[in-house]
Amino acid sequence: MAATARAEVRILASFAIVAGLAGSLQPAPQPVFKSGVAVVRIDASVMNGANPVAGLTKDSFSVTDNGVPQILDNVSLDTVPLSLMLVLDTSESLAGEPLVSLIAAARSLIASLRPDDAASLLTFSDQVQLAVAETRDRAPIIQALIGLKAAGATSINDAVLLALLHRPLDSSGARPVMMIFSDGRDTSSWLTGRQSHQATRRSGMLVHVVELRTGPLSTNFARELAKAGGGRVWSAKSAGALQELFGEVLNELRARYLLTYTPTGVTPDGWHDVTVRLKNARGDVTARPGYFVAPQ
Amino acid sequence: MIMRVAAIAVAALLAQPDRSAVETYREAVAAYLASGNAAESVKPLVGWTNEEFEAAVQAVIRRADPKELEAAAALHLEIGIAVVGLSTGGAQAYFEHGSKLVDAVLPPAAIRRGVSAERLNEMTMVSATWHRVAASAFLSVNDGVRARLFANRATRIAPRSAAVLTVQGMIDEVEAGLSNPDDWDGVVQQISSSRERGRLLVRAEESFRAAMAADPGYPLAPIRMGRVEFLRGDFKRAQPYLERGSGLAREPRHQFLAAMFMGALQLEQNNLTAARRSFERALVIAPQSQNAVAALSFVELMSGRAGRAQQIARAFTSARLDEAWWAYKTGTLDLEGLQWLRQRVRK
Repeated sequence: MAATARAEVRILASFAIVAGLAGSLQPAPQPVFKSGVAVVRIDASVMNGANPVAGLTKDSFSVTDNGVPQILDNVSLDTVPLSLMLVLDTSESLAGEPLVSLIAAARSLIASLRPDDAASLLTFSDQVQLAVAETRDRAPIIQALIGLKAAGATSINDAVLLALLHRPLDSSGARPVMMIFSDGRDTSSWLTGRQSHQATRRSGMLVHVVELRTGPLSTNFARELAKAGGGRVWSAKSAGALQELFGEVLNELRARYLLTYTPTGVTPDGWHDVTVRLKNARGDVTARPGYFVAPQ
Repeated sequence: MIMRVAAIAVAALLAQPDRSAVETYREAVAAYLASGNAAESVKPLVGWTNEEFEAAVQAVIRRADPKELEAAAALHLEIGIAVVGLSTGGAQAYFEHGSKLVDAVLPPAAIRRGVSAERLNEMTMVSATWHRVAASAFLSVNDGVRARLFANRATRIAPRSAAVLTVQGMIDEVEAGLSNPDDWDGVVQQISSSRERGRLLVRAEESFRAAMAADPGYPLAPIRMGRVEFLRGDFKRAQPYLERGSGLAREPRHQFLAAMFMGALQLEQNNLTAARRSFERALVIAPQSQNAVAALSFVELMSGRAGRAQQIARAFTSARLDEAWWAYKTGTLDLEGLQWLRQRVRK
């Protein structure tokens, strides 16, 4: 307690400075989510067990949009740069070794990005903060990671929504991906888990969830979030395993197929259920469950 | 013999804190009394251990100057609130010291005969408000266990206070909100979580009903009662409570909470237009509220106004972690109580 008290007086004395470093963003000049859809892009993972399935072409996939079969314009693998939003839990429960391991894992991930990949960093405890806006410069992200401190409760539901809404203003030519890490369940969000899943479905952003699970109980939050975002849940049983796991996520992202099609035979507005299946090939497909087009 | 003397000397040293340290502490309290600036006033105390604080606090209690005791207690409350979002353990340490100081303002029953009823009532109110604010600080970060420690002390001092009863009810209500069956994978956890939520909501209802009976004009009790019914899924019963609370609310924080809870209700009823209006009202009252930002941008996104949702979310990240941020994060920090205590100290 003594050490804690001493540390906190220091914190109070430098409170204004810390608050000033919280990061800032300019207001968005224009919306990203478009009200009409000319081309639909679906980010799909095809795995055979733990291994990505390579060598698939347009003829390997069968795609339906609200039940109507679609003709694929293009299928590409690992050619489009990533627009990676790293969303990290920095709540009090991560204090000590877990945070050290998390920082090491995140630094390694950032260092492994290709030069044309972009990344941003958003952190959350009680407060959700955009620590670094999207950039191809690795230095500010590494610097922000080194400065992370673990404190406060967990607002993961609010963080998901705010991260989705901070996706790059122009992500054309890139694959927007959110990779969110947490070690526990939400304890201080306004939004419910169900609402954050709804928002994820609407966003069209690929979402991977990395969880540090040290207890026996599991929640369905991570699974539902990954499902809504067309990604996967990656569970680490110890903080030491995070670096390897982050690397596996990046490898999986590199092995994803980007399917594009021009919707035909469907009503444009509203929610579109999309299914992606394999034909003439074997593997498990993971893709986002659909997309939303706001009425004109 | 030498060993015994040494032991006595050590004990004496422990009992008699460094005089200069006590003076430094008293100067910090005096600076706070003069300026009201907690962050500046505590700078000389940076690096102090819990034991050093304890020794200084005991020295101030022995001096028994009511003005100094109250100011020191308020200073500890300010520090605790400032750090509660960073470390609940650290905040508790400051609140425990502050609790001893504010308790010392209220003389023991045995020596109250010479004290006027008016003064006694005033001191009771100071102590009850102080403990209520401390409880609400923990509640603002959803730490119900620590909140209960201080709310129970407030209840012992002022058991029929509508504000104290409401804080007690809020602890149960907030904990019920965190006990969400939908969060769990396993059926056993889902059933257990559902039962726990039901039990907590019954207790919260009892507290809010008692608060409404104690003071029908106190707005927070019906506002939170509306939230209880909302968490039960009884939207019909929730609405009149929220309307009543909203009508009574004069403090911005109460108006903010009424707007947020009403917005949540309207959203569940799929009335997105009304929900947007409610959350916009909340955001006008508290532009730095992350809760209001999340709520409004979610409604905008669900209404198909994604661009507007992005604008709201992107503007928010410039928010600063100052007192207003915490006060409106969950709307549970008792800002009115804190301001009342501050005003008393500065008088």
